[in-house]
Amino acid sequence: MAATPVAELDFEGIKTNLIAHFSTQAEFADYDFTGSAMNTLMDALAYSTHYAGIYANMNFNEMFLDSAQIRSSVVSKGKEIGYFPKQYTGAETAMTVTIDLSGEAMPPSVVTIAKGTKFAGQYENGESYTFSADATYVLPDIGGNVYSATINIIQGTYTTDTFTYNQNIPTAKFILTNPQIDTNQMTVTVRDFVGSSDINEYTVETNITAATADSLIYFIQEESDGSIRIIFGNGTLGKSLADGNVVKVTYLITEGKNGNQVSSFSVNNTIDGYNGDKIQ
Amino acid sequence: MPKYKRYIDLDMNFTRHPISNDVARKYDTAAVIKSVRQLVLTNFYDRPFHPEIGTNIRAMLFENDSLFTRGVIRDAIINVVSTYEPRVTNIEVIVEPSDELTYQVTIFLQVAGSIEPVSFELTLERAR
Repeated sequence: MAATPVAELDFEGIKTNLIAHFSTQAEFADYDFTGSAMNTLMDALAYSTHYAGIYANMNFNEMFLDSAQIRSSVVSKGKEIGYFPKQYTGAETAMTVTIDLSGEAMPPSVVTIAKGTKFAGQYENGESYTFSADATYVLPDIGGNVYSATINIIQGTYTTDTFTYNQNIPTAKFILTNPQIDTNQMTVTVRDFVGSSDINEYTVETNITAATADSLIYFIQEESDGSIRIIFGNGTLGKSLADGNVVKVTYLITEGKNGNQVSSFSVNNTIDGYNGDKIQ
Repeated sequence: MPKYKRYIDLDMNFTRHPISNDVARKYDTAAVIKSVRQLVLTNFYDRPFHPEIGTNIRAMLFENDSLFTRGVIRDAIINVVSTYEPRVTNIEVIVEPSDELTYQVTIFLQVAGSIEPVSFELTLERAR
């Protein structure tokens, strides 16, 4: 029998090679006729070979960073070299907020804008996006019970996920429940147990060479479905969690670049209890 | 003297040869008839990468019986056999209804290399 050429990957090439291979024996003879049983068998063999070839080709492509096509494969290979892919980033802007309380009988000494206070940003076409204050701001009295300061707002809404660590489930993952997360705006705190007032804030670590056993650090990874996973230390590189620890992750859910070019802003509700008609 | 080339095909019923215990084979006219039967019963898109091979007879069985429907079935059979079975010449097809759901198809043909015309019957019946 002739050797079967193995370089072909497409269906027709594989089938032609199989027929050329089997035609050299005299047991059967009808490979060339479309309706023959041998031709149908050649179809099945060629299809199976083609399918396996394509599968192997894709499989090997996805194994290497240079040739991978699927995002989850690229992300997975990126983990090996410490690369965390860029995520959604909320559109940011600074604006001056002025609150005129000159008519108030008992004006406060300062006005506080809490982190997460919502503002409505509007395009000229009427499309609206929610913006949030990215920190807590204190507006001082600039004279005549008028309070003013420049604050930073970012497109999106802050939300919180809470997890309780159970040492009996060491493989449990802390995966954030929402998509489109701005990881730059993430804060992670850990309290010893439910109701504990002892709260430690952890920071994201991108360089483990500086980490010690007591470092309050966490790492971020992207899961295969695109969700964000928080990973804590193992007791050698970063402090590990203890049984009953309560992990609270506050993060921003954003529309990303859609929030750019917003032209005007207004207060969604109240600031420190004062309505929008007193706020400029 | 030219060497006589036989048509040898596998029996798709995979019946066992009573003596050799090997899978049975079809020879010459029987192999060609089997091939024609296979082509007629192949629907479009049955064959991988060749959706054009086959007939639309299965759909025709859900049409009301009429001279037109029988004509479409006849043309479809002649068309597929003359396109994909070069061993067949002088094909003629007669389609007759045997009841509401069934057609009795008689195919007359001549196998290349043989002077004897052969015919065989095919029952096309709706399964539901």
